Amino acid sequence: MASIRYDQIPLTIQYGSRTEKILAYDCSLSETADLQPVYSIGKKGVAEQTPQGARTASVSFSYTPVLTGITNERFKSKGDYNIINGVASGLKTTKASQSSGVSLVFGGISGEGLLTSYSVSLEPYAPVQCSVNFELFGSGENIPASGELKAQSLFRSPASALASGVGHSAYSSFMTAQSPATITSSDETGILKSVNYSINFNYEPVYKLGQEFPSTFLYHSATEEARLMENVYETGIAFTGKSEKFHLDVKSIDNNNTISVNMENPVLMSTQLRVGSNGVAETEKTIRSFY
Amino acid sequence: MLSRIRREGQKLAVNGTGINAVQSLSFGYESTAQPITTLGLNKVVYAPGAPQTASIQANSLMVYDDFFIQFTGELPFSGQVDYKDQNVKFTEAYLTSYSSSCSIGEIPSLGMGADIYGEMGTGDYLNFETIAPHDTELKIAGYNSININLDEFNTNRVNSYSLDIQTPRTAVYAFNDKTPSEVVSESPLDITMQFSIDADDYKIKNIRFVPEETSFRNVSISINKNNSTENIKTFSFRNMLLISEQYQSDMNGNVQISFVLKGTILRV
Repeated sequence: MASIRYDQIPLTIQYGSRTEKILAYDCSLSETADLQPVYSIGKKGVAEQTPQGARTASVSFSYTPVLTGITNERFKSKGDYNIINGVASGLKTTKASQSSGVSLVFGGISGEGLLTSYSVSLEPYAPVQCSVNFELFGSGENIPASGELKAQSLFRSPASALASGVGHSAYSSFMTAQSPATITSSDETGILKSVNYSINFNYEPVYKLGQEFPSTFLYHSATEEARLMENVYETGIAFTGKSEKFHLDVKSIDNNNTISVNMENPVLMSTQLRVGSNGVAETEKTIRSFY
Repeated sequence: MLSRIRREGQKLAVNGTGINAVQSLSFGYESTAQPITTLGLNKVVYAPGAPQTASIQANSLMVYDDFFIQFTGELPFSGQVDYKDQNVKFTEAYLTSYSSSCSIGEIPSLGMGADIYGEMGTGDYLNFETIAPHDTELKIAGYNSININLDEFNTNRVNSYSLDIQTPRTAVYAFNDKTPSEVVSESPLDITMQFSIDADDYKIKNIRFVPEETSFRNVSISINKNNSTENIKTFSFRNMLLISEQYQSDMNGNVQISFVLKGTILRV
């Protein structure tokens, strides 16, 4: 049978010595050949379609992060563990110019990708949801994505269990002191209702003559943004924005493991207040950092 | 021999006061644990997907000045249910619906439904030292001790009334918390009253009566103790909007007309 069911297509990523099986809800892989038509005088129609750039591929998926795992293979020690959050946190403050990719294996297809966007969404009392996009550029003469889509045979465990290692908002905390989400003019404590955090990375591929794919990548900059839904409104946004602090600890259901999101010197750049009939007033703040 | 629990083996108390004349009682919860179905699934794992709440519903006869109607406001209540040697307690229950009805041949009844945002189950998180019965003397009302004031009922006999009050709530949850930070009481409250009458000279409106002849009525239902003028409960509402009328007859019965009045009460 040609059709392959979702549970036969695991998604795993590798970074350094760590391997992580992703609890992905969806995954898409797309490949693009950058072609343009060539016309010539005296010829009707197109002469040919010719490449003007390298082939590229991208993988995007949404998932619930697992926060616990083996952090040291040698000693089998367990602890806070999340490849993507670790890559994103490290990359935005890195001083190294060259970036290494993350290996992705998706149902028999594999490639090396650079993290270009990462977002975390938290709603009250729900598992944390993340979305990422990796750009697969290939390297030298290696194509971006290789392999064949095949159903994977997996060891099936009949036992059900609590997903104790996944991030969950009912156990996650938001910094209360000096936080843009809890300041009110009347000193009342506001309630943070949801957070949508995202970060986007910019790279420059370095090509060598004679090779289709880049030989290396240079990391340039990152833009980080968080949209905070609350029930209080802070009036008087400053012309120059307003410097705020943002620190979010996402904790696992068993409350033993944590991943942190730290925005460095974010500035409050927009606020919004809205209310509909039969509803409660909602406010939204957007804070942004650049790296 | 199999044991069982009958009506005499159960008690419902709210805020330390026993509820009399309970006719039916139900409470429970549904776990919000949901399976996480992911790509390459090789083991079913569960995680809470929504806040955990519970609910309670009770129906009783109107045997005294019922106090559930006071919880249509913003205050929650706590309570407990005793059955045999078990004791289930609940906290932070917010009334979401309240109803009352009576037909000829019946004792007026009350109904309530509430959502529980605090705790529910066995445990020592709540302690009513002693539970006092609400009233030791039951004042049982009857259909013949109900007075209904409505403009055009001089020659039309009321067969039944029903009152329904919806008091929706919105729970606001914050992170790192399993109970809501706030429970917002929505406004306005929806009031629905339905009457069924044996018609004599009742005049049904033209269907295009809105807006030129929009009908607002003041309604008052006064419920007295059976064969007495001692008042148990009075419901009165102003400016109820007539929203529907229904004519019904068959071979063996009188013409019956049902009509529904709708009202809204803004919270203060």
